[in-house]
Amino acid sequence: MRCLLPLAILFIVATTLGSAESGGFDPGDSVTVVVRRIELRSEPGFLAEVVDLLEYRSSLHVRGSQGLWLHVASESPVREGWIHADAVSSTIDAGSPGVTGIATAEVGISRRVEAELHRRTALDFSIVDEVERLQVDVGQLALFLTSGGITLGEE
Amino acid sequence: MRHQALMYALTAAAILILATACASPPEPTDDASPAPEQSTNQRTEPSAAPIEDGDSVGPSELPLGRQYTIGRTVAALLLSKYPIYRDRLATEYLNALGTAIALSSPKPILFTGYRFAILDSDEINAFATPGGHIFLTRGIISLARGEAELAAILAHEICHVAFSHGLQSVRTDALAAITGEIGSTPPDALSEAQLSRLADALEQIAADLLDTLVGSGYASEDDFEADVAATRILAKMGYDPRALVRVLERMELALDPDGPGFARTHPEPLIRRQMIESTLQSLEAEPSADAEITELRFDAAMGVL
Repeated sequence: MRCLLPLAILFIVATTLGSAESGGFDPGDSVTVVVRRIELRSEPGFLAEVVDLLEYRSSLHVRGSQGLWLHVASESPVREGWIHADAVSSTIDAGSPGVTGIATAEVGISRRVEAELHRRTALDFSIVDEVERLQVDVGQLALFLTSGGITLGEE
Repeated sequence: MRHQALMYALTAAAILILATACASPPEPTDDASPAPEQSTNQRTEPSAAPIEDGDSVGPSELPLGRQYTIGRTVAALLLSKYPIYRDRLATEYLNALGTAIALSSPKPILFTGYRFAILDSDEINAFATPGGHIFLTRGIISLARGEAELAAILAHEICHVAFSHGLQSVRTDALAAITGEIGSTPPDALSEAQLSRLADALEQIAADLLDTLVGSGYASEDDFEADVAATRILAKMGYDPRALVRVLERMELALDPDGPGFARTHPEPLIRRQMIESTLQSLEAEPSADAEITELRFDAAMGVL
């Protein structure tokens, strides 16, 4: 019994560290996308091939992890790939009315409040839209890095 | 051999410019809105548990989307004070460099990612919103002698976002107001009174943040933390980690201590340089960046400023 104790402690420490590195998720967990749109990739890393785009509130199942990246599978359509752990959170009770409200609120609230702020203060959000319109895709980013001899220092 | 590398860089730069110019713009953002942001160690959707009105909410508990909503409002306020500088090549280059740095930062994921723009002002200043909008004035860009030094300025601002430094200056009850008010109400169901209270809260939060960014500045320890993290990012990416120190040296000479901009909102560059030195001693990696090529593309993009 005494010899099992160190092994048990070792197991607990190892599993805790493993979970912490992967954002606290374990295989079998259900998670939800919490950003507007995120790339599902063929392997861990921001330069890996994009196999699908996942929208806000997409449901996923965790299959495994590597560092801060999660190997996940989407439900419909069934897709597998890798996603950064910061882009998801634990799935909560989807049956809760409060939760449904939040899900909807996240999507539409900004424009309505911005219209109200514009009415009050004439703040111009169209210039912010202009700033947000420019996006850098994976190919451009890879070219920028390799031509300059630099790398992504991913955490 | 060197000539070939140079030609490759020029070709690559041309492709980059063309590719960016041809890239389709992102779809219209009818849903341009919020979602939850959180620290990299916090993986539970903060908005999952409805927050009651009056509860205190810390920056790390604020959903990414709410941070994005706040960020858009702060960005709109900033852009009402500083005109945007519209140079396509310079802006595209800034976004390519900024995106690379953001993905190397402690917080690579935001609700809609990071965006970078140039402000048409000679003032030496830079701003970051909680939504990932990073603004550099022409004045601060002109202090940079090459890509590594521009990367240093960008990395510092990105780290303010990564560590939620701006949001820490906002009162927690104000943050709770924008979460509690709408936490359990679909947007279409918000009454006019609720919408009005929500706009009041957002206006107040954005004004607090703007005061920090333009008026009082971040806490000194926040600037030191951002400096150290930025220096580590430079080293990880293959840039010369001393680049930030060099920019600060130049800033020291250029700043008017009684003037606007960095002089008012940041600790003295000399103290910041001293704080960075100990970090530099622990970094061993040799820079891998191709100085000739990075300087060349920096000059091509930013020379017009």
